[in-house]
Amino acid sequence: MYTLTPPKFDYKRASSVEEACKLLAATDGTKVIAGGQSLLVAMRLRLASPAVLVDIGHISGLGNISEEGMGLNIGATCTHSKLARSKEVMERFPILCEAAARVGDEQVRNRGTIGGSISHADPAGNYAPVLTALNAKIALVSASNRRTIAASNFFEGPYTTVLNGDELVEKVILEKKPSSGTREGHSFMKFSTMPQEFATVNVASIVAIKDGKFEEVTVALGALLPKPRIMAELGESLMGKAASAENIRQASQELHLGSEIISDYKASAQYRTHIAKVLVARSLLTAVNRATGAE
Amino acid sequence: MNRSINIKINGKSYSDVVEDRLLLVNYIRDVAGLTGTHMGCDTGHCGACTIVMNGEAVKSCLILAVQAEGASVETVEGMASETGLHPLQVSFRKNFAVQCGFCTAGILMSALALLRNNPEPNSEDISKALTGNICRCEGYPNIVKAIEEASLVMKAAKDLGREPRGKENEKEG
Repeated sequence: MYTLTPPKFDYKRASSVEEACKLLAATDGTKVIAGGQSLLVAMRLRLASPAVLVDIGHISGLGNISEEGMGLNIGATCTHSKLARSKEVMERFPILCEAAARVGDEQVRNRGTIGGSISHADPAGNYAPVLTALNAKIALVSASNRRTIAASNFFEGPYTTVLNGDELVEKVILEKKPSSGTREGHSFMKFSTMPQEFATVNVASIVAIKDGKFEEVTVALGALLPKPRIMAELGESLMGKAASAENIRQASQELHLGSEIISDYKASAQYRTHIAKVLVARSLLTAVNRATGAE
Repeated sequence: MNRSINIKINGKSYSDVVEDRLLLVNYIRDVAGLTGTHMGCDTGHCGACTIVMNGEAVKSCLILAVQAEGASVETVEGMASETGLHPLQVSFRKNFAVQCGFCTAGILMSALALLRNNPEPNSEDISKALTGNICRCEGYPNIVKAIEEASLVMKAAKDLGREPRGKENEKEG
């Protein structure tokens, strides 16, 4: 039977992060593999042909979810399935569970990892807008250096991040602000041609409501522009206003999305703009309803 | 490069020297000789190659054989036992949940993993679990019905403390 076999490479299995870093530093053209749900497809289609693959999928503890103060650290090889079902994440950052549950299909979620997804940086990936909206930090490590970078600075464009060739994502760091007597709500929504496909547009909305008014509004859009973007003007326009469906609808219609909107086989820029406005309104309304207990 | 791997498939241990780039689906089909697992789209979309690895449904065309070192794999060949077909297989036959049959092995493996995690799924749970399995004959309604019915048979057998298999069970179909 004819099969698309990946081009030849040398496979190295790392047993620790330190060993993985050493292997990455040793040879040019080395790629990290964990779940391999994007990388193996790219290799089979000859879109990538790394000389060496360093497998971090068997490093013990690298996929753990651990508490740090009120926040959480999520290890790079935590699978989408594990993330979607995690009680700790559901309690503190439920929007991340919602996004993880909408990655690909069951089989892909069982293998694919959060570290792999963000390193691959498909502009239509689910985590980019969510991590940006949550103000998450990403811890990177190499043989000679360690650094932590804000999610908003991590993604540079389609399939491009600040990761150097010898670096790998070690964990995602989520910090939780102490609650200030406001009611918080969130919503992640993905519009795609089929449920398991990458998003045509996706949106992460986080709101805080006090006395029926918006105290905080963060909306991040993905799959629409080369990298995730926080809709700052939208947030400012809603701040202090009544958290009503009418105000949300109006603010969503006035969204300014700029000129870099992706136009491809899935949707023209014009259609994407339309979907974005509808999706932002829906997700904001859901977030408000969750905050006020209407849902 | 080549390396030696040890994989358990349907309870049997396999040890072989394989090329680093060999896909797990090709290992299962061409090296282990278990051709029940199919290769459909070749790009990870169709789910025909679905197997259960360490208890979870995964696509064997998106895993390197060397990544599966030490893993415990289940394929469709491991479903039936000496006492008869698995209740899922019986139910698929009874409900005509097979048309051309190409996707069936993968769908059975997704269903097997689903019923272990959620023994009483509703039709929506089943549809969600099968998102990654494409049936080009579009035979989904009967597939969902068959899985729902199998879950009831398995639950009833469990409640009675019986093994839900056997010739008697097969004759019903």
